Amino acid sequence: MSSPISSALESLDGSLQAIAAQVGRLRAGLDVDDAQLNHGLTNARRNAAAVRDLIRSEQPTAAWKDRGTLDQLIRELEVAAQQKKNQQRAVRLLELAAELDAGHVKHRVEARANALNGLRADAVKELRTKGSAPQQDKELPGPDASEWLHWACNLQEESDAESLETLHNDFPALEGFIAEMEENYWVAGQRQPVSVPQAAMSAKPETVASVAARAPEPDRGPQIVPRPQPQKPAAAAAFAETPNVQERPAAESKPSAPAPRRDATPGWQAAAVAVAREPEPAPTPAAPPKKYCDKCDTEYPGQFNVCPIHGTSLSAVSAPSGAQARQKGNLAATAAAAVAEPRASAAAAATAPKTVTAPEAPAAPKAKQSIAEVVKEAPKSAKEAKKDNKQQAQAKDTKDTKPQTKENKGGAVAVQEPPAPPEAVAETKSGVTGRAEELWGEHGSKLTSNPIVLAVAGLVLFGVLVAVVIMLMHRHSATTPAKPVESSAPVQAPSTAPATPNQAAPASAAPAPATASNSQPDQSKQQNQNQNAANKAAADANANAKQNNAPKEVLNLPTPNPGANKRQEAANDASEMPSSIPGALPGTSGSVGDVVKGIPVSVPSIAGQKVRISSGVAQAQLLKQIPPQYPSQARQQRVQGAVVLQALIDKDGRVASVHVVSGHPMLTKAAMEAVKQWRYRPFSVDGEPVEADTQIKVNFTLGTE
Amino acid sequence: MSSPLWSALAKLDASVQGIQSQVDWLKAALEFDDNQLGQSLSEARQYAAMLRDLIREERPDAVWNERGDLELLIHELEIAAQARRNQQRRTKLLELANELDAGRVKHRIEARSTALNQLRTDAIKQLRAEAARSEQEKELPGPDASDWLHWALSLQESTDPMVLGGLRRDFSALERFIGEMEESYWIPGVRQPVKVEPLSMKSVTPISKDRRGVGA
Repeated sequence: MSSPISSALESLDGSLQAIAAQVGRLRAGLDVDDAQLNHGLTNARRNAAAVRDLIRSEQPTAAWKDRGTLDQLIRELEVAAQQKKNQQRAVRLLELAAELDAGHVKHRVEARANALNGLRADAVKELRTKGSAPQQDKELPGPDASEWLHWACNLQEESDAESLETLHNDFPALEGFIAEMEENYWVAGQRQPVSVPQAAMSAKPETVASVAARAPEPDRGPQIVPRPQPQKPAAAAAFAETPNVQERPAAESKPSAPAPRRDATPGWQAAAVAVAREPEPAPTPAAPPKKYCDKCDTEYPGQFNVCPIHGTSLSAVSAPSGAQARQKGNLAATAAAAVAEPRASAAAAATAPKTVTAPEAPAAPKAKQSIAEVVKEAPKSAKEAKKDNKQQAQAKDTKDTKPQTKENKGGAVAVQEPPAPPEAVAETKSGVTGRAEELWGEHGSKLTSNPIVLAVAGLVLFGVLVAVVIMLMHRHSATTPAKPVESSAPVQAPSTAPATPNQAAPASAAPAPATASNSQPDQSKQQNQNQNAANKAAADANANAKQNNAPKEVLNLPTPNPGANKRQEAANDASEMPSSIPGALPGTSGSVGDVVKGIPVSVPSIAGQKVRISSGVAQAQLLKQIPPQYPSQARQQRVQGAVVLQALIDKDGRVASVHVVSGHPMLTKAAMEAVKQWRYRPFSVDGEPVEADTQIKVNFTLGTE
Repeated sequence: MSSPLWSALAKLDASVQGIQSQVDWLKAALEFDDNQLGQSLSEARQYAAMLRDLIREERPDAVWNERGDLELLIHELEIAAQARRNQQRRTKLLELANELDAGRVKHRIEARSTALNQLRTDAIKQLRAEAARSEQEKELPGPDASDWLHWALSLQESTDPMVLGGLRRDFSALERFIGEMEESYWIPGVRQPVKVEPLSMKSVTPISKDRRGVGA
């Protein structure tokens, strides 16, 4: 017996023994130790009072007459206490069984989950069996059922050896379950209320002494009222309701490694939330099959549905023969048109395959315009002109992954971002050049074999050259400096196709005013004329820009193509436009660039000062244009728009300084970094190189996904 | 047995019983009267002291540690006292017998004298017969032998009925003699000294040393 009452009774008996010894001495006629006798009496009184208090705390109306009735009363109280303890133990076992029964184990491996649930069922069965026993000799260690699994899963072999041993000895099935369990496997459920079995509530017959003192008790044991279940977080509840792991969005997927068992974790509820939030690895969705454009056979990731260049729908099947043929035909057409006069180029275009797609069509005029502008505005070397054409032709390549620029009515550089994450390779100029070469190789032989075609082409070329020379000479003879046209003429992107001959003349009229002529008396008139011509050209350029912008389809950069790198390198290695132009007259260089390069481009003589030029004029002088990188953060946040930069071009043609005029902060840095790398042909006034101030507009546009 | 020792012991037991009853209340975790307990304790101490004194009177070197030893000691003391008492009784009887045997009765009438002397002889015979018993359960009332006849011949039926009745019951012959006698008839003689035989130790249980208690 180890109840408090029994302990107090034992203390009382101990103190009475001391008194009895002294009394025995008295009875023997011997002297007694008064101090010991008094000490014994004091202790006995205290212990007797403690016994009385303990009894009355259990049964306030208890009464007894002698030691015999006292012993009987204590026995009854201890029996009741034992019954209560049994009941409490049984309730704990049954509550834990209900808790384990209400939840379930979830594991990424179904077999493992089944095994764990089997262990759980065994543990539940064991708990219920033991909870139904009339005698509860074994007490379940740990906290209440709601916290028990969390406690058990954090038991350590070193520090909790006693508890583990108790579990192992008394509840082997339960111990086996928690040994295999991890806290994050557990999905808690709604525990059912527990009713204590009748066997645990059986009471002994009461004595006369205790009946009067004891309050009437119900026949059945007290009904266990289920504790209010703690509020489960919505996430956990939602998770419990939606056990389908796959339904969670892919953005929440995390690595599936379970939380370590021995780690201190938050409460059970937090753990349930963590389980909900830390999903098991959802089966990664199968990557959609790649798609191909029917026209350009560009390969796009599966999530693309429309070709950003042609605007056509994508198909899962590649049609390399047909698309490539069309592509080659397009490239041939644009190449032919770039070197022919506007009228002649129209005829040549008519002879070219008529599968030029809409985006390419405006691109071709733009390309032609840009080339014409270059030819008319500034003196270029043939090589540089070829470079320009190549760049423009390659920029038209739909497989360029870098943000490409396109000319719009504002003279800004439109940066188009493909929907898929772009690869680093930008296939621009070299791709177009390569295809042009391919197409030329395929069809050029046929054209060159036809003398009529050759003659017509030569005539057209000659006429164009003459016109360009005349225009340049007129501009060059002007004495008054023309004001720089600060229009937002679109900056020709490298991706734009070579300009068609139709657009060449008006586009070339937009550039900077011609250099001053040698005749001074007519200088002012010439300057005025040049100024007017420049303004008109600028207006035409704007009109062309508008026309070019008419098709709303933007030149979206395609997804990177494995072959893009190679083509880019090939284009860079080539570094020139097609070496020969179909129909070129013998003796000619056959390159527009060569002709253009020879025509000097100068601005009105403002020697030693900085001149302001329009963006269109500056674009025409652009030798090297690095497309900006679309910032990933901006792409993720779907930030797009135009960035307007004010750039100062030094005498060497380098961008000496750039500052932002307007634009989204996420985009300005990328625009500035790209523009800083651009190279222009040096601007000169009266043969003197000057610095030029111009505005550059870079458009960042995200294509449709 | 009503010896002082046993009396004192009985009283001691009564007071200890009073203490025990209070202790039983304590044992039952019931409240008790401290005053009563204190009184009982005081009485018990007193009686215990008395007993010790009595014992030490009989046996100054007596020691005992517990109640059993005490009882044994008291028993021994009682036995010794009994033997002593027996010896004293026997001696008294024999001395009276010698006193009556040394003297003679003289009456003016010869026949009366003879009868009275016969009664005297019967009384002497009876006294000596009683003295020969081992256990002197009967105690001769009265003073010593030399004054006994004077005391006996002055007894009155009205005032000393108990004594005469005791004599009549225990010493009938002696009682008849003194009933016929007159003090004027008696002619004392020279009494012979009485030889007291050593006491018989048959009824005294020897106490071994290991059982001998030590008084506190």
